[in-house]
Amino acid sequence: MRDLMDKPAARKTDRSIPMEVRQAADDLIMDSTVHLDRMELDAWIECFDETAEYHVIPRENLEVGYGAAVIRCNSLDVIKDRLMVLDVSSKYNPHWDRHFLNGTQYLSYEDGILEARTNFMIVQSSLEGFSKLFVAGHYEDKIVMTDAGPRLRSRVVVLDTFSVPNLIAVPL
Amino acid sequence: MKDFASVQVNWPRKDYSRVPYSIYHDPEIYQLEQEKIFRGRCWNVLCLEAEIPNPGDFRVCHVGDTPVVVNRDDDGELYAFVNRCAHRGAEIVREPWGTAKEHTCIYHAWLYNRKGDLKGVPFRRGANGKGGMPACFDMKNHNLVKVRVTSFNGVIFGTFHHDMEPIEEYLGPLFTKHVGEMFNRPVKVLGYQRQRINANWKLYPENIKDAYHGSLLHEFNRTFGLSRLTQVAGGYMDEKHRHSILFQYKGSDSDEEALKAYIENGVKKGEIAGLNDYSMVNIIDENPFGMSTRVMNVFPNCFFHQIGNTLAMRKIRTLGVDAFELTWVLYTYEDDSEEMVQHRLNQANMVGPAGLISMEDGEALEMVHRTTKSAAEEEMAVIEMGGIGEIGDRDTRVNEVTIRGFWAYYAQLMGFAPEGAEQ
Repeated sequence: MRDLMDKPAARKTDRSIPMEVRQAADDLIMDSTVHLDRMELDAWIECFDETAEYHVIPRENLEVGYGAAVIRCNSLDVIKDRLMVLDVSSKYNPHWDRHFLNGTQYLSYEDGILEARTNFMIVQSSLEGFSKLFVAGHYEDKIVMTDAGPRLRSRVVVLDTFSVPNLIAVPL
Repeated sequence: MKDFASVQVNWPRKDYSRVPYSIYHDPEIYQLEQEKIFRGRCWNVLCLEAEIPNPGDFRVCHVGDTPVVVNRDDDGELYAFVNRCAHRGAEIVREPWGTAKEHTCIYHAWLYNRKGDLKGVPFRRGANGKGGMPACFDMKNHNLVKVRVTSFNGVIFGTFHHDMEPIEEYLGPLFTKHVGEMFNRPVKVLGYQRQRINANWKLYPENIKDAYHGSLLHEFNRTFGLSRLTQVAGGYMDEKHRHSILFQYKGSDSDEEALKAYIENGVKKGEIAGLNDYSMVNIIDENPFGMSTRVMNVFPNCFFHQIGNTLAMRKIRTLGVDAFELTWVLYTYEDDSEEMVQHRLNQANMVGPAGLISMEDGEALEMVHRTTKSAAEEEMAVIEMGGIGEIGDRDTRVNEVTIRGFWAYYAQLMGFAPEGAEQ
């Protein structure tokens, strides 16, 4: 693909980031996905900072340079609205999700903001006990260190599986 | 050619108010659809001109199952060909989009220009005086299968029938008006949303023509008055009843009246208390006809929506009898303010595979497909909302007549309309 050829070299892990900062962020990233797997959406939203954003963007749009997302929450209010609609009005396939993350790459830590990148796969299981790979992609997180611990300032979910199997109801 | 004379459908009613479930599952019907519908006498949507703005830009699109490469040549003209090498049938263009001077098949390096004409066959004369093509081999006889293309206000349609009527005639006055208005000035693509739905493709045009479900399945619509059965609304068609438009006017009913009507009809009250941020459901008035929403199907694979201020062309690609891909091409106008662009991007939260008023459709279609598979031959869908008998327009959303319009035209094209059937 023409654009893949033009991309800058992959960024490397910043090894100067203190170990305790990385460890705290690891815990946050892991906890956020376990909350989703368990449908603990109130706990999931607690992982976000009050000025947070959350976006799910098809990889093809990023490759071409288009701005459209499949989920676009520019504020914590909009994330909360989506969860409320999900809770009381959305109808979707009954299922269980399970996130599989690999190690997080920590790219920078400046002014209390940590930049992190984590690959994920989500396996979806029907209530009849049949499982399949649902989606794959990566998180681009900006994590802010607060007195109460680390919080997500923004999470961009880059979706490799942009031809989505059926639908996305529960956040990724 | 395969003999499809054996493909028969049992239509017990000539107004298509009964649809046999087997029509979604029969592999012979599916094969016949590829020939009679997608490669048949129809204009299929391919993509938008804005997706291939510059000379050399191409995009791979699909007409039913058939991959078609749409190209813009140096003179700005549009060309399309089937993405299947004239030598051994290999896929020639292997990236979904890009820019190219010409196209070379990787298998044996046969070379084609953007029009799909064969321009190079390596070692055609042989090597060292041996081998090569016979003298009678003429490259002119081995061009790619050409698809005739036409652009209607920047929307590119294609057909395998080079004598098809002009697109305006195919659309008819009503759809020339509405599609024309949605593309009345240059557009910019905002991006794609895609989903793969495990259901027969025909369930999608049916869903788009089904005014009845819009606020029952999608509670978000009902709560915020984006679409309600109590509103001033309509479902109209072209004279052949193949294309459809459903539209409504937000604010033409009151929340209280609507709530009362839904409760009286036994529908559970929507429990959405309110939003923290109402900008998503705020509609900036721009439709010259005053419609807050309009959703169209241009037979067979093409759809347009204006839902509030989100604008999209949607298209379907068949993936066998049991699945299809739905692509939403979201767009804005080149002369839109940055604020309007952002508003359209925010309202895109309502549409696509994660859309607050659209995610349910994929699930509904998969449910229908899954459970109708095991239905007996005599089991059928009942389509009577809005009345039976003659097929025509209705000024209400409590209506499914537009679905019967789809089946009437479909059955004619497929060659299995019952004698004396409604048209």
